[in-house]
Amino acid sequence: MTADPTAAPTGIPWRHDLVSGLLAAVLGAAVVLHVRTFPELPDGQPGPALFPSIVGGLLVLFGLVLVVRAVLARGEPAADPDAGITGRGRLRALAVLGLVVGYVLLAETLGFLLTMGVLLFLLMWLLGARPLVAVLAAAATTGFILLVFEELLLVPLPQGLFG
Amino acid sequence: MGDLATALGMLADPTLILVVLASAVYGLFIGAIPGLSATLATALLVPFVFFLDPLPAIAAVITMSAMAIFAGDLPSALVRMPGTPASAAYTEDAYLQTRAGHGARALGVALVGSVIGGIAGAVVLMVAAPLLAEFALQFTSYEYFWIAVLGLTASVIISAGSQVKGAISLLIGLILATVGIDIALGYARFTFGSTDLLQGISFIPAMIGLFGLSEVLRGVLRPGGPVHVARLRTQGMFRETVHTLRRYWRGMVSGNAIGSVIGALPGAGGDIAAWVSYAATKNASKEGHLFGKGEGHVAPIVSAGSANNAALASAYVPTLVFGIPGDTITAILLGVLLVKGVQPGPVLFENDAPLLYGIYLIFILANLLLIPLGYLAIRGSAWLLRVPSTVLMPVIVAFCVVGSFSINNGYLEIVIMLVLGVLGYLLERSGFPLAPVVLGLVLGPIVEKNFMQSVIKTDWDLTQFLTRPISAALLVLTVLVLLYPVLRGLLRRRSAVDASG
Repeated sequence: MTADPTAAPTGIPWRHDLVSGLLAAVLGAAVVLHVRTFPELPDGQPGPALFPSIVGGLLVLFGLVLVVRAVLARGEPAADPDAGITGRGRLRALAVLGLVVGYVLLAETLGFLLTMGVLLFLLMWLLGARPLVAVLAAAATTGFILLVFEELLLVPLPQGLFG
Repeated sequence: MGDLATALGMLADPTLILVVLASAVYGLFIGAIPGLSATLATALLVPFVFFLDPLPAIAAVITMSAMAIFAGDLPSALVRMPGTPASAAYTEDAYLQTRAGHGARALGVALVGSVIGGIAGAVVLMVAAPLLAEFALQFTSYEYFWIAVLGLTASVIISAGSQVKGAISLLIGLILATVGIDIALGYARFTFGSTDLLQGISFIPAMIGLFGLSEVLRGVLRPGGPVHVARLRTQGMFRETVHTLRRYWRGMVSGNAIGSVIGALPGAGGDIAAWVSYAATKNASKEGHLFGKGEGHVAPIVSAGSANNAALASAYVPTLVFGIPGDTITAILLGVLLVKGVQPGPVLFENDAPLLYGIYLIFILANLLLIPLGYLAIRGSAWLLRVPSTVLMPVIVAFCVVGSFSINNGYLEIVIMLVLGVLGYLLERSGFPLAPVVLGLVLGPIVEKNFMQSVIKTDWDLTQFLTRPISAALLVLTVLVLLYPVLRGLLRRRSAVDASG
C-alpha cells in the first residue's frame, strides 16, 4: 500500500508550515481588528461582527498551533512540495494565469471570438502543442463554446468592436 | 404511487435523456484522464446545468460522477496513475494485475463493483433519507445551527492529512462566506467598497477556481512525461468478472457498507471511503500480505472499487435531508440548487416527492447505463489516455473562464475564479485540504443565519441551544466527534500497552 492520505504527518517542511501558520494568524488578527468597526445591534448586542470575530479568533489560534507544531517538528524529514517544478513549469503556470487575466482585460474590446481564439492558441503553443494542432484546437474550442453558450444556453458573450 | 408515476414521466423527457447521455460520456472522459477529479468535472459541468431545471441538473451531476469515479480506474490499470483520487487506494493492485495479464478482469471487477456499489448506495439513500427527513421535521433554527456545526466539525476531523490544517481550511471558507451583506443588520462586510461584492463571493466561480483552475496549475507546473499504456485482452472478461465477484462477495458487502456510511459523513467522499475499505479488506483477508505487491490482488479492487461508488450515492442523504453536503460533489450541487431556489431539507420530502423519486430513479438508471458505457470505455481506454495535455489544459482554462462569466455575465466572477484558483493551488501544495473550504463556504451562512435568528427570537437566551432535547443530543454528538482523535489515540495507546504487557 502506498502512503495513506488519512495518516497524520503531512510531509511538508517545517519552515513551510511555520510560514502558513503565521499567515493564517495574521489574517485572523486582521479580521478581528477590522470587524471592531462594524455596528452593533440596536440594543448593544453583537451583530455583524460576531461571526467574523469568532472565525478570526479561531484562525489566530489554529495558525499559532500550526506554528508551534512546525517548530517542534524541526529536523524531521519532509518532502519538498516544489520538487519536480522547473523554471519552465513556472512559466507555463504564468501563461495559464496570463490567459485568464488577458481575457478579463481584452474581451470587452476585442470580443469573445478573437480574444479567446488567440489566447487559446498562444497558450497551447506555449505548452508545447504543434502550431497546426494549436490553431485547429483553439478554433474548434472557441467555436464549440460560442455554439453551446450563446446558441444553446443563451449566454451573451462579449461582442467587442468587431461584433 | 402517483408520485412515482409522475417521476417516471419526468424521466421520459427527451431533454433529460440527452442530458444524461452527454454527461455520461463527459464523466467517462474526465474520469479517465489522470489528474482530473470528479469534483473538477462537477465544477466545470455546473455552468451548463445552471441553465437546466432542477431534475435534469441533478441527473447530469449524478450520472457524470458515477461514470467519472469508475473511469478513474482505467488509467490506474493501464498507466499506474489514478484517474480520480477515489481510485488511488487500489491503483497499485490494478496496475500490477494488468502487468500480470489480468487487466481485463481487474477492470471488469471494478466496473461491476462500481455498478453494485452505486445501486447499494442509492438503496441506502432511498431508505435512510425519508426516515431522517421525518425526524428532521421537528428541527428549528437551534437544531439547524447544531447540525451545521456538526457538519463543520466532522469535515475537519475526517479531513485527509493534518486536522489543524483542515481547521484552517475550514476557517478560510467561513471567512470567505462572510463577504457581502450581513443577515442581522444588512451591513456590508469585507466588500472594500465594491458594489458587486455585496452579494458575496459567488459560489460557482469559487468552485470552478478551487477545483478547476488549481488543478490545471498543478498539471502544467509538473507535466508528466510520455506514458506507456499497457494492453488489455478483453475476451471472457465478464465470465471471469462474475466468477471473481462470487468469490469475493464478502469484500463487496463490506465495501458497500463502508462506502455508504463514509459517504454520508460531511466532507468525506469516495476517496476516503476507498482508503478505509482497502484497509478493512486488507485486515480481514488471509492474503492481505499480497496486496499491492507482486501481481497485485483483485480483492481490494472489489471492495474499495464498490465503496467509492456507494459513497457517491449516500452523500446525497445529508445533502437532501439537512442541506449539509456529504462530499465536495454534493457541496457544489447544493450550491447550484440554492441558487436555483431549491432548498434541500425535510420540507422537500413533504412537498416535492416527484423530484425525490426522480433522483432515486436517476441513480438506478445511471448505474445501469454504466454497464454498457463502462464496457465501451474499457475497450477504448487506450485511446482515451492519448489526449494530449498541451491541448486539454488550455481547453479546461477556457471553460473555467466562460463558465464563471456565464453565471452572472460578469468579469468579477472570472476574477473570483482566478483568485480562488491560485489560493486552491497554494493551499493544496502546503498540505491544506480543499474540501473544508467548500464546506465552510456552504455552511457558514447556514450556521450564522440560524444562530442569529435563534438569539434575536429569544432576546439572547443561549440556554435554548443546550436545553432543547435534540439540540442537546446534537451538541453531545459534536463534542464526541471533536474528541474522536483523542479517544482514538488513547485506545491505540491502551491496546499497545496490552499487547506489550
